[in-house]
Amino acid sequence: MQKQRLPNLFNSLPTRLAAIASLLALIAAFIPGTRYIQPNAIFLPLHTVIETISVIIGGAIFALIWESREHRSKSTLLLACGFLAVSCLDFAHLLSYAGMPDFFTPSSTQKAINFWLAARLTAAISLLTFALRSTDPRVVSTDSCRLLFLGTITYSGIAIWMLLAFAEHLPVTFIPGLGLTPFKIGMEWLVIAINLSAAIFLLRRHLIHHHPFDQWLAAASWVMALAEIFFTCYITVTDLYNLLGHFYKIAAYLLAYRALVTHIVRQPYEKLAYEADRNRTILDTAQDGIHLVNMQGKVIDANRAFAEMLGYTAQEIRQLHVSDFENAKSPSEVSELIERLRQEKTSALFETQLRRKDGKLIDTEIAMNLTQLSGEEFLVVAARNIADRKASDSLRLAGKVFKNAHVGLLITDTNGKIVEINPTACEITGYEHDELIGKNPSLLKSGQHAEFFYQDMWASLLADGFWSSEICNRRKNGELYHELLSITAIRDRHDRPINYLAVFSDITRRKLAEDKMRQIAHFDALTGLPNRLLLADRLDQAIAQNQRNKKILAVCFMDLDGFKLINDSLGHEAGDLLLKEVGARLQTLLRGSDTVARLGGDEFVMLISDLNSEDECSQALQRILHSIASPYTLIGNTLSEISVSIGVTLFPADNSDPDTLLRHADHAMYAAKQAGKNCFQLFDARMEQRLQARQETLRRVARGLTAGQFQLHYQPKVDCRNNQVIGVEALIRWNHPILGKLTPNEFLPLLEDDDLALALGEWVLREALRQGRLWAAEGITLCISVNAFPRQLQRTNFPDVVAQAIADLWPDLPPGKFMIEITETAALRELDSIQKTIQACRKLGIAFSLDDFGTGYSSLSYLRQLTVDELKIDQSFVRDMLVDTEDMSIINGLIGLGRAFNLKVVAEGVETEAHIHRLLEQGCHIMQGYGIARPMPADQLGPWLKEFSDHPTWSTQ
Amino acid sequence: MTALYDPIEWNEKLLTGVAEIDNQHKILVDSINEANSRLMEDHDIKLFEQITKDLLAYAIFHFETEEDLMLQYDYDGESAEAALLHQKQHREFSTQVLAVRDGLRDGKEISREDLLAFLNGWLISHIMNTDQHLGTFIKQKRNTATTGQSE
Repeated sequence: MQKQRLPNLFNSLPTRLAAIASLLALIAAFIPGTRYIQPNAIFLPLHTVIETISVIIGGAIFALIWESREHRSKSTLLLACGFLAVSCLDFAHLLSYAGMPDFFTPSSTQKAINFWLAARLTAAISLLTFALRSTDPRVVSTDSCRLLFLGTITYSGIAIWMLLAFAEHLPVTFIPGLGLTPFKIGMEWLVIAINLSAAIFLLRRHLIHHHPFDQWLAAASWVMALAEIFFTCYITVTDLYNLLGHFYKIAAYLLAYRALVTHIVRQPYEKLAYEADRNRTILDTAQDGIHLVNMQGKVIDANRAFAEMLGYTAQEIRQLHVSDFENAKSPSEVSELIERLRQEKTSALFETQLRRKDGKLIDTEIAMNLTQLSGEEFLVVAARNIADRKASDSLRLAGKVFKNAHVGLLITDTNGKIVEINPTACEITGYEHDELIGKNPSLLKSGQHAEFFYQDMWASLLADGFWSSEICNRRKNGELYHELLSITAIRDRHDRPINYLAVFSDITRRKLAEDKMRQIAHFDALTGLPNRLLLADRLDQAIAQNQRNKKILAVCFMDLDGFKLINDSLGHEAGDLLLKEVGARLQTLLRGSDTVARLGGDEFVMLISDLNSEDECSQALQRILHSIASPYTLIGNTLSEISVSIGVTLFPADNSDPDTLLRHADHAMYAAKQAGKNCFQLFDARMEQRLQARQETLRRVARGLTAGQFQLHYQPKVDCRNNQVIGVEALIRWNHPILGKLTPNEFLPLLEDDDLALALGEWVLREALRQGRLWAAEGITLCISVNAFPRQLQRTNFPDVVAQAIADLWPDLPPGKFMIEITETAALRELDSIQKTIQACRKLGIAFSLDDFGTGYSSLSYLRQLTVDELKIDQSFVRDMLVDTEDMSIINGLIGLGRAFNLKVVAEGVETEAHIHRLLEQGCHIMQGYGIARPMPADQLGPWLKEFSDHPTWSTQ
Repeated sequence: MTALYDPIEWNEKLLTGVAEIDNQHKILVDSINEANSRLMEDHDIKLFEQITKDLLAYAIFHFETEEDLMLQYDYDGESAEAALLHQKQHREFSTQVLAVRDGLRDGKEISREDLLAFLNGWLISHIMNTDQHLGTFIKQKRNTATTGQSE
């Protein structure tokens, strides 16, 4: 490092000047006789001029430093003061010079030399002091400055006074004719030594700190030392050496002056210019468009980047107003923003759009900062073009999305070669990234789709640029998987496809779940056979297929005979096993293309396709009947009497829709059941029509019920011993709008098996109660009996229905005044439950009668179980009792039975006087029939009772 | 039990010319034929009850259709005697069917044969005579109505 600096040191101007000075001094010293040149005549004025210049220079140095004292360090200030003192002493020296007018004391060489030496010593010491002091940059306080100044003046004054006052006490320095004394020469050498030391120290400091100032001062010290050498060897004060010494002194002063001017005057300007230049460079090399805007929105200054950003020249841009290039904000918005920043003293950062000179818009991010320059407020605005950032942001984002997407992404070129895939795609397909790049996606084909599937795909891709479907592919490990795939064509500016993007997700699991759901939804859990839902589907297919093939389709509805009995006696488990076994047998009997479905319970449906004739169907069904009838072994039980009833309808002879076909088969099965079970029955259109007619009749009954077409007629029951009317039986009549009055026999059998019986039965119950209460109010207190349908009695809520009717219509019903008649056959069907119903109703005060007695399996055992109050002997026995002894003996038996159980016995169908007498003879007193009274409307009962009270009793006849 | 009734063969003589009546007659004839054949093979009372139930239901349905037509064309007003006779026959049919059923319930085989005889006889005579009268009447009415309209 040192080496590098040395040339610099010698190449520099002060070094060169010092070298030149040294060279000239050497020449002067070695040219013989030069010291003898005596420029006597001009010496004094010359000396005066020279010294005056040096005084001025010294003063100037002081003035320069003193005037910028606020920025100066202590050592600099000390140096300045040194020069001031030197100037003062030099001035005294000038005035004291031999030949000059008297200055307090007469001027002399000795006197001038005294001042000279003092000045030189002061200068040398000042320089050395400066050279030795650290370059402490700390400035000096104003007080110190004043103190220093006063010190300097005092020093100079004292020095001058002392040199004037004590001149005779000072050593002799010059002896005219002899020259300089050793003291003077010694003193000069001391000054030289001090100056040389200063020069060395300054130079050393320069080498360390590179202050040009130090270098110049070093040169000044050096030249000063040279000057002093001349002063050691002059002979007369007017010789050339003396003069040269003075010249060198001025040269040294000039060097010092130069040092200080460089340091104090030039350097700050240079620094300022440099800084301005540096700032400009920084601004101009900045990427952001930095500009200065005043509070009116006018652009004051802008850097190169901003001008280039907007496409203006540097001059043009300084003519613009913000609203000239701001595109997103209106001028009023701009001024509002500026005003806001000014008031809130804040900065702003926002994105906006700027308009270039050529009209193009650029996305920019603007940072605005309020600043003050010389008391005026400005905005420093940095505009950054973010178009690239936006583009690269979205590109980076796209890349991330591609990588992290949870769907498989695959891009091909137009030749179908894969150009990129994402990690999810690798995961789904099981291939590594590099294994797929460059390959065709057909690598993943599963072989599960026909060729036209892919042809379709390409057709829509070429036509619409889009295709989407579920597709089955094959993983690297050979496993099949399902994916939801959509392919989109990516097009270039000219709308030509350049890539295809496939987006797919693995839906295998969902597919499996769907399959399972389909299994659950479409198959019966117990037997594994298709259920109703799948059957509908299969039926549609079968119809289409047989239509196409011109074959016959048999739709068969099958039901196990007496399945309920098996379930009840052997348990549901056995029942379930039986159903499974039946299902299995049916499947083995049918072809794969046929369908066996279970609809629930013990109902099965079979679809037998491709039949050529009805005969073929019959044979198949016979086989089925035969197979089903063979014995079953279920949990240790062997069942050998299982049979089924099958209803069949044949398509296309029965050219109905699928639902109707099933219904027809169901109807036919119903017929098969009727026909005695273990058989099949072919559907017959007229069978359907009859069923429809029946349904229609039922609908009319229902309508008649709401329309009030039903009416109760009442037939008295009379104790023929005393003509006491003990009760009336309510009998329903249908006042049919067309057919007139219909008797119960004509329509009741139709609805016995229908829920309509419940509604009609309840109507009868309520109507009879209503009438009974009316009669009770009139004073007619008869026991009213109604007929209940077996279906009503089977309902467990029947007692509640009765209770409700009583509560609604006859709350104060006296016990035993209302009776329900049950047919013997109905009672037999569900003995236990009917007995419970009877018990419950008895608590409500209801009495019971056993109707049609003798027609069933009248036996003691069940009569004992049923708690009834009355037995009614069926009219069929009564009608023929006079001619048929068998009937008579039955009647006798029944009467005896009634007595044995202490029941009232009522004979029905009593038509003649002969009947009455005969029955009375046999001990049956209570009778009912045309022979006594026909059933009559309610309003006729009162008159009849009145009339009947006059009727003579039969026993007395 | 030796009497065996041949099924009624549907023929043109049975047609009344009124479509809805003729369609129902066919079913009625079918039902009676079916009852005939079944009762010859099987003596089960339940089967018989089923047949009577179906027969009655259909009869009510059918009688209603006919008597509705009578009302519609004022058969009662214009041909009172025929109308009364017609309705009486309808009632007799129901009563007879029920009577035979009741008898059968009592275990009287003879009633069944009576029923079959009655059913065959009744149906043929009713359709071929009484219903023909009604049919002619209705056809006439309908013709007048259409010609009236076309004029």
